[in-house]
Amino acid sequence: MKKDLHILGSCHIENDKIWVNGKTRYESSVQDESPIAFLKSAYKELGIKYAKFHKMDALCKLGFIASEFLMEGLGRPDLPTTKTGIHLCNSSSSLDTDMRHQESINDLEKYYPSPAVFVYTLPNIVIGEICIKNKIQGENAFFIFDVFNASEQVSLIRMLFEETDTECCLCGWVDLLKDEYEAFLYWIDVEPRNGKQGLIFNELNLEHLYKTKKFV
Amino acid sequence: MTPAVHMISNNMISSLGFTTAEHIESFRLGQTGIIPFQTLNETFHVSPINQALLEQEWDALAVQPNYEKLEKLFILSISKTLENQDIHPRNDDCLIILSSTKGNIDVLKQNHNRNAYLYEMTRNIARHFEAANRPQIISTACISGTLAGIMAYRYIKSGRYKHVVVSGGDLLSDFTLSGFNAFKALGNTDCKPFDKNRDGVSLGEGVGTILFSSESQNSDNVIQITGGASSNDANHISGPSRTGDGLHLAIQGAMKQAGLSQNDIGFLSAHGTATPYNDEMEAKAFHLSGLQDCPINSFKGYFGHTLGAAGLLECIAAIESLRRNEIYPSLGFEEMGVSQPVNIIKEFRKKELHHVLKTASGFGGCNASIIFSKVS
Amino acid sequence: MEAFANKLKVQIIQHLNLEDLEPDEVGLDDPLFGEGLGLDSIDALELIVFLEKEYGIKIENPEEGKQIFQSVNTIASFIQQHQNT
Repeated sequence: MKKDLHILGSCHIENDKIWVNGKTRYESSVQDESPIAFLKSAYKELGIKYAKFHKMDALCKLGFIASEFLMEGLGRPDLPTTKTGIHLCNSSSSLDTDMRHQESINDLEKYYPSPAVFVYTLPNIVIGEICIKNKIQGENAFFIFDVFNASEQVSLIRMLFEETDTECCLCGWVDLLKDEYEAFLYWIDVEPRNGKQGLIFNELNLEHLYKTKKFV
Repeated sequence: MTPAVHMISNNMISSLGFTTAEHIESFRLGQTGIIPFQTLNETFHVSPINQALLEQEWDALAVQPNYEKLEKLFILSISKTLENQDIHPRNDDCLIILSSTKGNIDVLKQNHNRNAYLYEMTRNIARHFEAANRPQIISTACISGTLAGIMAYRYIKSGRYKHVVVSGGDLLSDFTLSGFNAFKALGNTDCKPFDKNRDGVSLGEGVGTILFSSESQNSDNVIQITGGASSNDANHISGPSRTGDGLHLAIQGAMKQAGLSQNDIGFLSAHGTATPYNDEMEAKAFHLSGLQDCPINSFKGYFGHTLGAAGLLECIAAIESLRRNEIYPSLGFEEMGVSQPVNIIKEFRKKELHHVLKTASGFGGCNASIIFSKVS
Repeated sequence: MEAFANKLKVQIIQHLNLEDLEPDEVGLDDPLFGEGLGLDSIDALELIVFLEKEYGIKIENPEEGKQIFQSVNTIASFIQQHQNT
């Protein structure tokens, strides 16, 4: 008999708005901000000082902000760091930064590829950034899909818990290309943590949470 | 009863050729595919696929030609792997998992080419094989290929699929050359993993494909995946860990899963990129794992660093070592160049092997390791 | 020299995205790496690109950078030496 897994928390970010565990947590007062400007205002809302944030590319900023609001919503629990995984996916990979790097090398007359840009031309750097902030050292994977698919997510994450000694995992979707972005992160645990019961992790609940942003 | 995960067939494509056999021949003879190459107003030491041979191989396959270069390589490699097999992705019980860091990176210069999206490329390839299931693609820096192998292991072991085709590929491109160059990570000579005079990576291109199945086909010398794990350094997004604890964690995870200890590992295929810091980190991790006396090589000296293909090409090389009871020299190595010495293989020799370990590490602080075992 | 160093400091703060820092918080002789401003290996590579792009000075060997990038003042005098020659 396979044990149930639990969704203990979630964070959605889209249209300049952040939802944590189904409730609106932050909304920008400025209309039609660029993703970078919005993410900077969300960073200020968090009230943390983390110099590395300013160096991140837009995709990492989005994933980092979502992970921080998610952790805040979980009550920043003590984690079993080597048994905590991060399993993320998106559709645009790191194309947003790939294009910046490509532009810097297109013209050999103006050829100045930047190491600080190039390092972000991999989608899993956002996993690295979140691991560094939270000292997470467990299983890592970044998948690319065309769209968020709850059935594929449940299958992959269940398999992770069945086949490894992972005890909890930061999962979800973090996608950004030019002015379009969407983050939906959720926290999966083998047991309630910090007194949070959460939702049973199955396709129906995950799909409902993703689509309605309601944590019920 | 948990299904075992058997290696059924494989294919390697790189500068060394379009078959696994050609690669083994080069390993035995210590021949490299790395050559000097001019682009971006500089000379780089790289390992490119022979374009004329690619066209020849592609024509022989006789399919519609409207595919990108990397897609052609994937299709060729997967086709060669499936040759003479009953298993096919068009059946419900078979999954395709690809791995790539940059996919069709050569089309990024063109605006609005959908094939720049990794999933679009994945779908193009899956459609060619009339795949029954939605294919998957892993893009987790330089551990992508190894991680794809680990995912195949988990999919079959957990009973979700009976067969998995894993294929990893990446191209040599101005995109990656300029980036690694800006990182001062490229060597001025053919790469020299673990050597005292190593000064950086030689980039390469290639595709490696393995067919895994819960059903074993022949009775002698069956190769299985017996463990696999990944980890993160949680230290720096580009600088390798100063302690090697992240890679050590991934090695421990795989060994625990396989029920093995360090003395059981007969050969270790390291990541060995030949940058000063990477090889130093790996040597520390191997010491932490008690593997300093285990024969170790890096295959990068033969076909360079093939990024998202590296894990799979080097898994196949390790599998063939295991199957043939042979270990191959770490090309480019002359003098110990890491602070904690490890046992680098200097010449081709026969060695009875039962379990081999493949490790990988990449940008973002990620590490992965996988174990292959021979069951007689 | 000091005016140039102050201008350079602002450029460096911008180029390296050190947004939390006000120029006044950085002394011209403060160490940039390690315990100082906490710059890392990517920043060092980025400073090499910065010198080439803004001042046309090439540094081939990153090890050389370690001496040059000790503080804003050491970078300033390195630039001035190279511009005078």
